[in-house]
Parts: sequence; structure tokens; C-alpha cells
Amino acid sequence: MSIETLLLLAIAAPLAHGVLLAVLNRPPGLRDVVHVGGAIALATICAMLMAEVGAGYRGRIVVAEPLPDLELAFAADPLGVAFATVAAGLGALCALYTAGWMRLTKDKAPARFMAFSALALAATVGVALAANLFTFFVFYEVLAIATFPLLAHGGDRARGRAGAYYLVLMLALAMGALLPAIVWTGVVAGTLEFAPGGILAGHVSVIGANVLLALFVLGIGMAALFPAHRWLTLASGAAAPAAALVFAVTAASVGGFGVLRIAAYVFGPVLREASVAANAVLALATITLLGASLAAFGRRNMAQRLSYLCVAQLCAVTIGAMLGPVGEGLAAGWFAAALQLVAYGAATATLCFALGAIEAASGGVEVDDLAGLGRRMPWVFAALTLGALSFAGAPPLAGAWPRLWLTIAAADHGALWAGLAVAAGALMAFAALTAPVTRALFAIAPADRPATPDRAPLLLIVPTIGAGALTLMLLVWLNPIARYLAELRGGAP
Amino acid sequence: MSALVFIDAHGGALMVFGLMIVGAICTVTPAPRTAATIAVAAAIAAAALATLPIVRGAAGADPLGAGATALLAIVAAAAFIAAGPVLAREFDRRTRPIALGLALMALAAALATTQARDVLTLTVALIAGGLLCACLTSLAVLRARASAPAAFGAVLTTLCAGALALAGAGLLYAGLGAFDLAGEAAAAHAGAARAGVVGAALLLVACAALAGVAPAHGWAADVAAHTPHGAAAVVAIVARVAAFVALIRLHTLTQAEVFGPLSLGFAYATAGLGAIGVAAGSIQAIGASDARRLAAHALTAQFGGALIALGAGGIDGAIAALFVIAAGAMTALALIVGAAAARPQLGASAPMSALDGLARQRPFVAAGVGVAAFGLTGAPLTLAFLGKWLSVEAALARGWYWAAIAVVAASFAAVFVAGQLVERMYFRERPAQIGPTPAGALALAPALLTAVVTTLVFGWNGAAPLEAARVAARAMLGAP
Repeated sequence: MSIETLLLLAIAAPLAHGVLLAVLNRPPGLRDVVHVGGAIALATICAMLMAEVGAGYRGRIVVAEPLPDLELAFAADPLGVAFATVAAGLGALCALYTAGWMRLTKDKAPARFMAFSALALAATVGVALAANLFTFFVFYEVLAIATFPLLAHGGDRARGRAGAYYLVLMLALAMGALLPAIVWTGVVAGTLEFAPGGILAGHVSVIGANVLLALFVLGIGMAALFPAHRWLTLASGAAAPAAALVFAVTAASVGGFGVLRIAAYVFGPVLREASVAANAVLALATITLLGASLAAFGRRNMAQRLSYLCVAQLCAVTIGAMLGPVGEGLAAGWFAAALQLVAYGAATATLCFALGAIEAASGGVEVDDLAGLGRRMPWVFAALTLGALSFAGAPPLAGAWPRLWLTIAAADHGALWAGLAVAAGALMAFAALTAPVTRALFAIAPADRPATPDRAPLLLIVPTIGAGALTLMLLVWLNPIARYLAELRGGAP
Repeated sequence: MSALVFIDAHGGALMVFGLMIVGAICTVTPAPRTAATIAVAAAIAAAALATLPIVRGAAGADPLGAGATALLAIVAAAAFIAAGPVLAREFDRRTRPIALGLALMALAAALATTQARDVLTLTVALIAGGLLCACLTSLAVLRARASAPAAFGAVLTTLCAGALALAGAGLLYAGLGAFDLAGEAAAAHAGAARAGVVGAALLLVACAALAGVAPAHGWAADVAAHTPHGAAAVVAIVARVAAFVALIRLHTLTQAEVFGPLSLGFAYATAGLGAIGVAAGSIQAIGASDARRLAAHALTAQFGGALIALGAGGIDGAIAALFVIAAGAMTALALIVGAAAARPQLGASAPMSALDGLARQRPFVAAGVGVAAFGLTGAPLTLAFLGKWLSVEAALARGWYWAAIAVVAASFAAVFVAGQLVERMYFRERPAQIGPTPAGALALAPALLTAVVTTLVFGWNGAAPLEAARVAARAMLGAP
């Protein structure tokens, strides 16, 4: 199969998946098979695409051309395909989890949820494979719209408000900052095409570069940089599959990916000229990381605690992307950011799945209610522990490697304070997550709790363990990933 | 002479006089159903006549007029199909034919405005259209006395603007020696006399007032909110867009060489008015308590964006302006139709609460309004997105960063408007006092489909409208 066909399939398959779900929404068995099958098909397509790109093939397709030189186009490049594959892989686990969750909770509109999750996955893959800024923007907007019903799912007023806040914020920032930045880039650079080494070199003044970078980072609200982080913390009340999909697979990950994509493929070396804005973003990301990590301690609800830690973890991606521009650390920061995206996705999915399973079994995820629960749900808590340790950057789990590269990049950049902040954030994540886990594993259950809480069904446990296992796999895959992302890694040590 | 050649040569006049005559017949038709059938047939025939030259690529010497006429005739035809059942809920047997007849005549005047190539015809068509729209609004007084100030405002605005336009036309003739709007006649004179400049300015003010360009937009919102639902699209969209097209022609005239350095002044004034329109329209749309008022303010904001692009100048600016207007007209059409579909008892207004829970009772109507709402924000793959993209490009190319910021700010504000609409339709329960949505939504389908399909199809591939806009812009500016 040609790489162009695979590119087309990667976009069309999840869209067809969504349409099929709308049509074949009954019986529930068929619906679930369609949902899980569609997600696995997408993961397979992305894996095949990754293999082709790994073998050195490149491809580009144009789907539409609304205006001359304004193409809706997709391209297969290492960073985009890697992100698409991670998202699609985690999306398949999410699909399995969603099927289990919908059956367990006897949800009123499971097909609608599944259809929108397929659309969100399509948009995520669209963002990842976007060949240019226009396509990136289109799918970013589609993603904002498609994830809104996921966050609001359940009819709960609080969820509705969180979803509405998210939608309005994302659209407003995208329209108010991202779109002008894209148009401006098109006007000065004469192209919107992503290219290794960027497209702005020689086309933009120092002031222009700084303003553009500020607009881009502000416009990508999904990156959850202060003060746009609130959408993520408000969304902590979403249903577990929605939280997993939005935090780990789609919106939040796309935010981090977007910042990295812009830094490496639009700015490139011009980030040095935009050093004022880059350092300001770096400082803001560091402050957000520390603030969110501290705020996580104050939450007694594990879902809320996790949402703050997600904000902190995403900031590490932004820090890596901004550390890129100076000296030898140029590519180390970008490589660290790419690794952090993979680690973040796997660990967040694990934690969201585990918390969802715990909630399904025990009825809540308050820290105080976890005591003694670990012995009754060992597999789920084992996965939760893996996710927590990965967030904390404990070797050999996935989160360790980006921390290492971030520290190298920070040292090269002369911004050791950023490296120290990342380390401090990791320590705080460790404390914030492992304390409740320890309590769950070793504390004595309250006397008034039923002796055996309902067990979470297998459809919830299997994806949880699968995602937990992924956090371990980066140990084995680090070298292949480093080779695969050589284009991004460039001259990194 | 074949039929097609005859239509190419005389289609415009045929449309205008045909609609006037049929409108007059409608007003005296005793049976409302017959009147509705005649009106729909006439509107569809006008749309076919207007579209035929565009489809055949025979737009002639005035592609702007041909394009605008086709756009407005299509909007009107869709609105007339929807009007029958809506008017049946609003008026008794005796009044309905009168409303339909007046609406047809207002459409005729609007089409005459878009096709007018000289100032005198333009002025007469503008005044006639304004007065006919005021008469339509006055019909609403039969149902609710609260509509009287809106009708009075419409009459007053039309008369004042008409007086200004007549004076302007006279002064323009005195200064330039011709009533011609094409620019060639003006260029024949070595320098524009002061009278010509004042005349052009007066005409611009008159057209801006009749188009409801900010700051003279208050009356347009009142009229949109109070006109009978069945005729709202003609009054709130067709008439306003027609006046705006006249404004574009006059602006182009002021950019002719004969106006010398004053051209730049006119360009700045136009862009400045645009910025005011964007700000006022956007802010008032956010705070609108009535769905049709919201549509009117949204259109005001779109006009603002179009004026900014127009002021930025060049072919790109003109193309952007035409895109923005087309997108604005389609958005307003969807919003007005949505309001009519949501309101069971048609009174003097369509409160926003009528949209609450619309998605559950009329999912397709809600989806259509949702698409329009996202189009309003300039969401990608909609016609409005391309309009905004071109506007920002035109502003940046001229170095007018403030203008680009104004366009972006309008999108920013529109996000809140769209969010409000979506929240009401999808996340609220329908209030008991509003009652269930009325039957007969099928008649609204053509209007809603026209708006949605145009918004999405041309948003996906804007090559055809872009080419049409380019041809129109080149003809307007006399570029090769």
C-alpha cells in the first residue's frame, strides 16, 4: 500500500468509523465491535505509516484547496506520524475502555459518545499529519468542537459548563491569536508548509518573530499554559473515558504537540531571534508547572489532583520546545519534548483508566476513600503505581527519559533553573500520586466499607494494564525512537 | 434573438419590473394561498433569471451587479418558500397577500439597486426599497403596537437617507458632469470639483445609513426584530445587502483617479467606519436578547469587516469584501430562519429563549443554526473563514495591523455569540411558557439548506466564488 493511500486512510478511517457508529448503534454488541474495530484499524494504519516513514519514504496528499495556495494537505514526517501512532494506539485502548464503561454505567447515549470520540481521534490524527499551518488550524478547530460533547457527556450541568468553557476558550484563542499568527506567517514567509528548520528564517524581524511566537503559544490553548490551564482542571469532572481521551490522547496532547510542531517546523533557528518571547514562555511554563504541582496537593479528589498534574506534565513539553533554540541544546529540547509527549500520553491514559476503574468499583476517587482498596484491586493499583512513577520520572519508566533530556537541554541553554523546576515538579508529582497509592495498598480499609467492593469489569482492567505496560516499553523503544526522530533530534548530544 | 441572448440583455429589467407587477397583483389577490404560490413562483423565477448568466459565464460588463443580484435573488427565493406557513401564523387572510406583495416589490427594488449603474437609478431604487421595507415593518404594528417605533425609524431613516442621496446625486453630477457610477465618466474630467466630492460623500452616507452600517445601524436592528417573521429575510438581509452593494460601487467611484489625494481620505473613512461597525456589531450581538436582532447585529459586524477590507484597497481587498458579505448574508439567513422555526406564537419579537432546547425538538434546524453560528466565528472550512482570511491578508498587505486586529476581534467576539447559541439550543431545556416548536418546519428547509450548503461547500472549495469575486473586483476597479 502506498504511503499516500495510508495517509488518506488515516484520515478517512476514523471519519468512516464515526459515521458507522451513528448508523450501527444497535445492538450494543455490534456497536462495541465497530468502535473497537475502527480504533484498532486506525492504530494499524498509523503503525504501517510509521514503518513506511521509518524506511525513509515520505508522502503528501492534497484533499482540498479552498483558496489558491491554501491547501488542506497531509504529509508523513517522523514527528507527525509518531504522534499519530501514539494517539491511535492509545485511542484503541480508550475504545476498549469506553465499551466497558458504557456497559457498566448503562449510559443513555453510548453511540453518540463513541462517534464523537472517533471524530476527535480523526481530528487528532489530522493535526498530527497536517502538512501545513492551515490544515493544522482546521483540524485543531475540529478537535475543539468534537471533544466538547465528550466533556459535556452525561447531561450533568457542571460537565456542561466545563465543556462550554473549554469550547469557548479554545475557539476564542484559536480565532484571536492562532489564526492571525498563521495569516501573518503566510504573508511574511510566503508559505504555510511545515519544514524541518522552519519557514521563517530570513523573512521576519526580531520584533515580528517575538510577537509571532507569543501569538502562536497563546493561540494553542490546549497546551494548558497559565492562564489557559483552567479548561483542563475544570474538565476533571468528565466521565472517565472522556477524561482519558481528552487528557491523554487528543486535546491536551495536541496542545503539547502543537507547540513543539510550531517551534521546530515553523520557527526552527528563528527561535533564537525570538528569544525574548521564548524565555517568557519558558518562564511562564515553569511557573505553571510549579504552581500546578503545588495546587495538586490541595485536591482531595484524585481526578482533580490528576488534572493539575497533567497541566504540569504538559508544561514540560512546552519547556522542551522552548529550550530548543539556543546553542548545542537546540535539538535536545525538542527531542525531550517529543519523548515527553509519548510518556505523558501513556502515563495519563494509565492514570485516567485506573481512576475510572476505581470509581466504577467503589463509587468515588476521594483520597480518603482509597484506604485498603489496593489489595482488593491489585491490577488496577499496579497500573496506577506505574503511571504515578512515570509522572514522577522514575527510571526505567517512560517519564524518566524526557526528564534526562530536558535537564541536558536546560544545561546547554544556560537555564538550569528550568531543569531544576522540572525535577521539582517530578518530585511533587511523586508525592502527590504515590501517597494515595501507598494509602490504598497499605492502609486498613474503614470498617463501614463493604468487605468486597464490586470488581471493575475486564473491559476496564485490560486497557488499564495495557496502558501501564506502555509506560514501561519506552525503556526498550528509546533507541529506535531516537533513530526515528533523528530529523528532529538534529545535532543533539 | 434567442431566448438566452434576450435574457442576458434584458434579464435584469425583466426581473425588476416583473417582480414589481407580480407584487402589485399579489397585494390585491383575495386568496392568501394563491398569493403565496404566485410569490414563490415569481421569486424562484427571479432567482433562475439572475443565476442563469452567472452559470453560463455571461455576467457581462457588470459582474458585481450580476453576482450580487444572483446572491440576493437566491436568498429571497428561499425566504419566500419559507414565508407562506410563517405568515399564515402571523396575519389574517386579508393582510397576508399584502405582506407578500410588498415583500416582492421590496425585492424588486433591492435587485434594481444592485444592478443600478447610474446614481439617479440607484437613488430612486434605494428610496423605493427603503419605503417598501418600512411598509412591511408597519404591518407588524397590526399585531403589536410595540413595533410602531421600529416602523417609524425605518420611514425616517429612508426619508433622510433619500434626501441625502438626492442631494448627493445632484452635487455629483455638478462636479463630475455625469450620473455614471462606472468611473469612466468621472475619469474623463481633469479634476473633481468640490461639489463632486461632497456629492460622493453624501451618497456614501445615505447608502451606509440604508445598509445599516454602524453607527447608523440601530434602526436596522429594530426593523429586523419587529418585521413580520415571514418577510424578515427580505427586509433584514436582502434590502441591507443591496444598499451595501451600492456603497461598494460608490466607494469604488471615490477611488478613481479624478478624486486625487482625497481617495485616500475616503479609504480611511471607509475602513474607520468598518472598525466602528465591527466593534458595535460584535458587542451588541453578544448582548442581544432577540434572535433576529442578533442576526442584524452580526450582519452589521460583517459589514464592518467588509468595509475594512474595502478600505484596504486593491483587488484583494475587494474580493475579501465580497466574500465577507456573501458569508454574512448566509449566516443571517440561517439565524432568521432558525428564529422563525423556534417561535410558536409569532409576536413582535423572537426572544433568545425561544432557541432554548431547539436541538431536541428540531435537530436539523438546530444543526443548521449551529453551522451558521460557527460560520459567524470564521471557523475553518466555512465561507466566512475564507472571507476573514482574505480580509486579514488584505489588511496586512497594506500594513494596517489595526484593521487586522479589528477583524480578528470580531471573530473573537463571535465565538461568544456562537457559544451562546449552541449552549441555548443544545444544553437548555425549553421553557414551558414558550411552548413547543411550531409545525411546518419543512417549508424552512430550502432556506436553511441554502445557507448551510453555501457556507460549507464554498468553504471547502472556494475556487468558484473566488473566481467570481475576482472578476467582479477587476471589473469594479477597471483592472485588466
